[in-house]
Amino acid sequence: MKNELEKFIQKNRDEFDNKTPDPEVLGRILHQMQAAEDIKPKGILIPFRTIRWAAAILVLIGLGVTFLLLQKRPDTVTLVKTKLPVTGKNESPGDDSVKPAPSAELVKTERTKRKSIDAVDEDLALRKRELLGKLRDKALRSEKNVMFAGLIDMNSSATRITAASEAPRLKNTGNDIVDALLAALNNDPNANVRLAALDGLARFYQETYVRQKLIASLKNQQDPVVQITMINLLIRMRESGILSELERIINDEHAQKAVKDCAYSGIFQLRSS
Amino acid sequence: MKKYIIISLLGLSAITAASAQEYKVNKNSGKLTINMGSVTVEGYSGDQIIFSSLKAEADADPRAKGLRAINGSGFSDNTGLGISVVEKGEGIEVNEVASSGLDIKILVPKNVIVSFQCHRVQNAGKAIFKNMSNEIEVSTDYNSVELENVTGPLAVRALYGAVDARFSDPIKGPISIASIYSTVDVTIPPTTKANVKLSSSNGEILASADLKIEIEKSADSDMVRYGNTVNGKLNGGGPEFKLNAEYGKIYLRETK
Repeated sequence: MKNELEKFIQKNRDEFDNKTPDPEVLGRILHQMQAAEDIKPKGILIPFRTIRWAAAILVLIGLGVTFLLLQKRPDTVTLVKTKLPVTGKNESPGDDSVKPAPSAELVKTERTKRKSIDAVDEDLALRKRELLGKLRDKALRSEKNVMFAGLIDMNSSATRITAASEAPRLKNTGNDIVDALLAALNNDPNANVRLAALDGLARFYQETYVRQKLIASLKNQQDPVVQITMINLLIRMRESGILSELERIINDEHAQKAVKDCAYSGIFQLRSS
Repeated sequence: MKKYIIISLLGLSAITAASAQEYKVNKNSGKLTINMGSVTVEGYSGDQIIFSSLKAEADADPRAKGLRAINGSGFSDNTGLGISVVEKGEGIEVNEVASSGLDIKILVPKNVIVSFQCHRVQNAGKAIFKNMSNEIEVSTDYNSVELENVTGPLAVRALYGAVDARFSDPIKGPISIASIYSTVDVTIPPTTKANVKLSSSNGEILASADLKIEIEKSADSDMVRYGNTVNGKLNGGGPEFKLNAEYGKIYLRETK
């Protein structure tokens, strides 16, 4: 059987070879192979490039941001550093640079006349003292001005709270501090600022002026939070001048229950003490 | 390849446009005043105030399509979110227009002062503030206030709603939380430096034993003392830190 088949194949080999596949098939295969080759390298190569670009851009952005952040911080520091010496230098170097120079000349030209040098020294010391006094005055005044400016900074209630809590530490000349705090207590839109002002005013509780103003202010307060804190403060101050106002609050239909409770206990405490 | 990129970009933008309704305002300073019943405010580092609705799309009213909320207050919905956002002076003011079902989230840049106000009973919900180093002002009657990962400055005035605040380092003063009936629950990092003033006329003050407060004896012996008042320095003193609850309890904890 095998031999026959082999013989048959050998005989008809040429005929077998004649049968070629449809050329289109080869074409299709080639086309597919080409396409596969085309897609693969592109699919791998291009993302790599884009990834590299993306990575490079990310690194650049990262570097830029850190650079900016690093740059910004030192900026503020240097600003403060340069500003601070300026206030000191503004006045003193002007005088220092003028005065030591003449004194040095004096030493050179009139060494024998020591008295005059001493006089110059004394003069210098005097001027320095005066300057320091002026500076201190200025600092105090500017501190006050900063506080007053802070109290009316309508944008930031935090600034106003800070100003109100710093106020009692400053010198109350002609009731300027007390009046500023009273203005905040009566007019500030933010309850926390009014409370801070009340807290500041509490330190002047012995002054009759402050007591009178507080009694007047209680009548105008609408916010229960401030009203209650205020009543409690006035009770602690044993200020019986608020009794009539407390009675009015108790009879007021619109008053909050919490405020009424507080007024009751206030009347009780003020009458019993 | 270009086709793919373009298609994917188009797809992405379509998805973002469809899923998140947003309203953006270019502003990175000034004040943002929020007059709403409830809100979630989060800090982020950007230059825009971004308003978005947390409400799921499924909850949207199909009948309301093509319509927008109006009411008699004079505010009109210019955002498509049921709120009115208008510029007022140097600040931005947000007001509710839709009467219910609002769940608004606001992303706020770092230097914008945030002020939340609500004195109504209706719709008074939660005011949530997260991850903020901004200055925050809150004034409410019925809302509960939650502050998480905030540094201050902070001024909270509450009447009935509880105030929960978790601070993170470094705390920027002044901190002032005043309430009447509300509980004030505050958590601070153990390293916080502050001048602490805690007071309550009728409530209790509870503080963690691990917080070392050097209590100052009050010098004004002339005044009647009652209620509970603690004045002291925490870790040597620092910014003003005032908690006051007239009829509520004060809790002062440290972060663990």
